[in-house]
Amino acid sequence: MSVIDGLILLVGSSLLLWVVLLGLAVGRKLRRDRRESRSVGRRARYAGVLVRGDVAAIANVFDAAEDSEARADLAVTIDLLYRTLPRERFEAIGRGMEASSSPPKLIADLGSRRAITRARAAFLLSRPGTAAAAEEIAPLLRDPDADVRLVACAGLARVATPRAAELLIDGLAQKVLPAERIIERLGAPWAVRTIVARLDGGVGEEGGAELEASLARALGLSGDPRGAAPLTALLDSDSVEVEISAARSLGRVGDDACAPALIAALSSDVWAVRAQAAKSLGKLGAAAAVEPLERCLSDRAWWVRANAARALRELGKPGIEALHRAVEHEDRYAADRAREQLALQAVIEEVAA
Amino acid sequence: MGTFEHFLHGFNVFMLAYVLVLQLIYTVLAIGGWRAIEDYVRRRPMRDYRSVSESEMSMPVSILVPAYNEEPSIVASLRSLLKSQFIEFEIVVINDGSKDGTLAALTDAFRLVEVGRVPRSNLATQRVRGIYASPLEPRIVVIDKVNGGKADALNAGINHANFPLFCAIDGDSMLDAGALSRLVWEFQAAPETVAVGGIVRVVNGSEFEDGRLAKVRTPRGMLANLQIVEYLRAFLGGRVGWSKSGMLMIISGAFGLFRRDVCVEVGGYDRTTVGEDAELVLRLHRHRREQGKPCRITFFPDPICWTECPEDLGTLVRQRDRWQRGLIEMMVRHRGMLFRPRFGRIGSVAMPYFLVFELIGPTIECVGYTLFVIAVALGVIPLQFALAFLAIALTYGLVLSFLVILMEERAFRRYPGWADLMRLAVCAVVENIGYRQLLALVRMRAWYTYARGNQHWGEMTRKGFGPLLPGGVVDAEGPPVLDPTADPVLAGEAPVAKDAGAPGPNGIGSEQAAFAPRA
Repeated sequence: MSVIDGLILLVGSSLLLWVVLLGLAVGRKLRRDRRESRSVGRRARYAGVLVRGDVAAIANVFDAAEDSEARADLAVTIDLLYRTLPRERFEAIGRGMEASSSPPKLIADLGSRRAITRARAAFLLSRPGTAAAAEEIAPLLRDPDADVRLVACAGLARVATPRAAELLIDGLAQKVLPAERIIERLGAPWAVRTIVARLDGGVGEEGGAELEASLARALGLSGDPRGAAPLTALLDSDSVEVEISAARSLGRVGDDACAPALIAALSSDVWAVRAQAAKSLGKLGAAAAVEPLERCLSDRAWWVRANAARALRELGKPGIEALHRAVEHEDRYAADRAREQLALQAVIEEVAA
Repeated sequence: MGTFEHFLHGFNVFMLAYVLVLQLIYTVLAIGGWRAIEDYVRRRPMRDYRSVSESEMSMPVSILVPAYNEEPSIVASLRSLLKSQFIEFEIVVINDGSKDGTLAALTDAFRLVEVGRVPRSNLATQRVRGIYASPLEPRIVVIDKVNGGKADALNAGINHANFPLFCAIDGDSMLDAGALSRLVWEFQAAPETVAVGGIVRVVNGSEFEDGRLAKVRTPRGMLANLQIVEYLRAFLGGRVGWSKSGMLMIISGAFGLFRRDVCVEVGGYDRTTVGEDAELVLRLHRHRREQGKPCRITFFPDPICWTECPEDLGTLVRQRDRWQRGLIEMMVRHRGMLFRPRFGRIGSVAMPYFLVFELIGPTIECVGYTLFVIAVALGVIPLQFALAFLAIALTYGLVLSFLVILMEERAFRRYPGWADLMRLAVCAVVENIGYRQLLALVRMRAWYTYARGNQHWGEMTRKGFGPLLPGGVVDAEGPPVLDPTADPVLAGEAPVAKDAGAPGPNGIGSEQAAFAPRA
């Protein structure tokens, strides 16, 4: 074989290989494009029925979504609709699902070997306000797959019944997931009554202070004023973690009535509690807090001073007056913080004007 | 056969063994990468990344933006970053002794006021002249300091960052809107995580509208397309595999998320190297293992950082020279980890690989090409054998390049057009004939620049991202509620949306490309 023959052979075989590989890539792309196009049409159809259809039409959609691809599209469509549709509509979707032949199949899917099948079943079974749904999904909170546990946790939050809240609190106590992942689902008005009841009844040995702190954070996240009273009580906890969580959450759900407890927390031995209490007092806008916050400007901890100065600015006129007084403070650190907040306030006023 | 012929023969046998071992490693990495991506594609539908970006319980992030003479672009950059779809973040801008009006531009735009702020750590940096906050945008903090270089600026940013995670981004890069939430997910799912790298992709050729990335397209120029294939091979074919085996040594400086406390523990960024990003990752591995603490440093192929790659040869050569110098410095500094079982697979597998195939490899390749031609010319190697060898090498390179293109098509579909596929397919060939050899030459030459003590970064000529200036956030994911191409949740095997996610440099061709482009 000559060099020329060899090169021709080399180029030819490479070209052939390139064509084969390109064919593979093109084939793959064509298949994906077709599937995607099918999926787009199906999701649009599902959305139309789920948004406007009656229970029977919704049941038909669930019955029609037999194969894995269609069921996946249905799950995606429902998930996207959760962001916009009112809860009543989802209750209707739940009724439609129950009227279909899907529930037994989905319940069977909860025991599937494939994590995605279990997760999707848990998702589709999470009908808002349906007591049975919580019990169906609950075992997946202990699933060996962390992703499935997260889907179950989100599913219980969608069900949003007192029983679902209880199950999530149990999961929190048993640490089936990182606490924050459950708190973010539990921190909503629908769960407040159950959380308060659990705090009132005592969290028990299983949870201890860690559970109390988590529930305090969930109450704060809910933004529901019903959480204010138990949070105020938690400010007297023996656990620093619980005190900090309660002080932080009170800034979100508390009112003037909580101010005395927060003002008392400004005297805590722990700087983090004092700093958090100062911050929350600013958010509450409690006029009674001006004087105690003014004292905090010369706290020994930098963060307490900084938070107190900021809180005073947030308190409006009486707080600003206190900051002006503090500019002449004998403690130069207090004066610095006051000057800083006044400078920020000046810009805000200028921009507002 | 004379002595020279004997030498030629012996060297070519060595080259054959070298190539076989290298291809074997690439194969293992590619298989590992494929499996990891398959696993990710299966799991992605279960993961509610939106909840991470919306939940108040998510770990907050400090975004560090070092700025040096960026007066024309810094404000637009920050405005764009402020649009990040993540619930709690702060942007720490570090004005590293700019000689232009960077600080004045920031002060004017955000009405900055000088404030006190205690540093949360004490990494050594050049003197901080002042710290500024904005009453209009509380998420912005500006640190004005004496010039000390990028690593020094980043250390100052770490000192004043408030949040437990920090993300250092390059001035020439843009983040996908959902990128942060995907990286944060990794930290939340595995508390032992120390750092997570995201994929870096080439933005050249894409279309922008109103300062946002509207359509991802491959560029027309061959050089940029070659880099796209190279990045795909490095990230999907290389780094995913390294990550899956717990041996990830490189996280691009352009995009990575780190635990602040651990980085402070190891002393922050090294201010004396041009490869400070990779050096930090290796130091994290070293420190955590010396302390007997868990160390999960991983790569996540979905969150995307878009970056502009060089479109002219001179800039590309300077960039690769810098990357290789960074690699050399890193390996020299941490040579004590080599072959030491106490550093686990990093010391006994990953570092020896980098030493042999990434550090010395380019030199072996260049010498090998030369001697191979001489050996064929002198008849030391039979022509048939030489052609067979070339054919196998080319076949293997092509298969690997197409494999990552298929991975991309399977999992992410970021380049959806037919023209894009054709361009990448052509570049899969050229990458193996010419481009790779050119880069080997450049990387070999880097030893010379390293020996001369060159610490320069080299200039990068940029076209810019249209109205969106560097450091921005790409909003390519599209928010419409009923948009069927939106990120699927629980979609299972359903078609993956066109904008569902992403991955990217050579791993398989040259892992050094993993040092992502820097400003």
